[in-house]
Amino acid sequence: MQNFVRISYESQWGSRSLGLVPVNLWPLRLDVKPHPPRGWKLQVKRALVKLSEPINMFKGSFAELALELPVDIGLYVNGVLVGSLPIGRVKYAIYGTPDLGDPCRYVDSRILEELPSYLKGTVSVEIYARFDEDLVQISKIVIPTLGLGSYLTSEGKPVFSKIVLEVYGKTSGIARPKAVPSLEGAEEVLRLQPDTFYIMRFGF
Amino acid sequence: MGFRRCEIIELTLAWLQGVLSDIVPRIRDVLKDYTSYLLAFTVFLLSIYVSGYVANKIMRSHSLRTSLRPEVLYNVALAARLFTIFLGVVLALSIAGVNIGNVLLAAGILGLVVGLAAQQTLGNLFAGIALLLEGRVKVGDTVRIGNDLGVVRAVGLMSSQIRLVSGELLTLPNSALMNSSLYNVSAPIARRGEVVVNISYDSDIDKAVEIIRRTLWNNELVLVEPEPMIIVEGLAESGVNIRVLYWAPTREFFAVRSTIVRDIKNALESQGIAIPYPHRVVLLKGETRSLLEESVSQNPQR
Repeated sequence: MQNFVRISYESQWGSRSLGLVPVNLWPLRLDVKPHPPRGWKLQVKRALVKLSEPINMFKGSFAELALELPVDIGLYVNGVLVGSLPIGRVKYAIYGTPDLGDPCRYVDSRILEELPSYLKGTVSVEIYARFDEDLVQISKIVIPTLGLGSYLTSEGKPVFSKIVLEVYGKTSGIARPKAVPSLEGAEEVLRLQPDTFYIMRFGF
Repeated sequence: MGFRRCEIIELTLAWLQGVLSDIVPRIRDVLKDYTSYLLAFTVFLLSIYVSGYVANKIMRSHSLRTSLRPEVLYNVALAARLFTIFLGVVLALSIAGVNIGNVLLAAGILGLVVGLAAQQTLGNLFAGIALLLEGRVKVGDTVRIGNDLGVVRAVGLMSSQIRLVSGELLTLPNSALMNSSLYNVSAPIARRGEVVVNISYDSDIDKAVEIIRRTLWNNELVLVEPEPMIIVEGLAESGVNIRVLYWAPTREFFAVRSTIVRDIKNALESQGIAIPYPHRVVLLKGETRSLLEESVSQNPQR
């Protein structure tokens, strides 16, 4: 008869079981690593970052901004990712309309203020204005977290992949993670789906 | 003894030959008929077997790469099965020597009669086909029809079944489903919830609104976008009505609603905001009033 151990964790938001692991895998090595934000009661694939102030993008312009995302804790059993858990407050938002939009992890300054610095990962966003209109205001960015890689700097600060946002007009754009860290020299700890992108079709 | 032995044998053989020449063609004819009947029956049985095989194949293709929904697949498999059996029956009848043309003509006339007699049934059938093609509802969708709320359990060719939240199984003819106002509440990702909170006239409205806003923010599943709305709606009989509108993921809607109502009540009470009972001021006049005053003065405890 095979015996199992249950892996579960608890946080201020509740407890969750990650299921049973057969003991024939013993000795179990349990690692925790920074993981892009997914969620708690809902597992989502994107993060909607609300900017504290809108950015004005003019035709043909380029901007680079540094954002922060909450860091979830990725749990690994013998080197295999078995789940992730958020530490801080978790909120969600629908990007788009309730019938056609996509559920996202919501991030704004109120949520980030509650987190210690080691649970905030830096994301560098390069914005390219590829539209014919004079001006597009950007007040939110949807980041496909499924494609974000996680990195750690030599000081142990979490960093995520760089994001390229191409803006095609007031209502459309593409956000695409690049396979490079947002801060140079950071060491890769997690690589997710590298070719992921998200088409923002409900405006900025 | 006038006959010799060899003559008797010859006569017997001749008689036997005569009998056999008469019987053998008859037996052959009978056997021929029975063989064709047997063959027709075998073809019919084979068609049943093949129909089951075809239906099985179609149903199993669900686990492969097809994007068809299970209920559509089920009905396609059923149609394929019936069609295969129909082909088997036609083939079997033609093997048995039945004139198919006459049968089809009779079937046509019968179909006309049945069509006239069973308009409602056919209406349900076509409504079922339309429902399947249109994709208005899928198995597993939560729907509301009139006052009935439940989860779609099956979408058939003639009728559909909805498991109501009360546990009963509602079977609706497809034509009724097509003609009714149907709310598919599981199609959108999020649903809007609504709670009306009544606070006493003595309470601080701004403080109450702030407490409600904080309670919504503290609930993980209350969405930030679309933004919740808190409306001071009106002055009611016993207090001030505050309408709380929020959005929650459809899957978690009822759980969120329950939590929100409980949390708002607890938060308001803990902050000293009273949720009043209905109040009514009754004015008494004349004799009734004097009697009541007398009674109260005699026994102040009452």
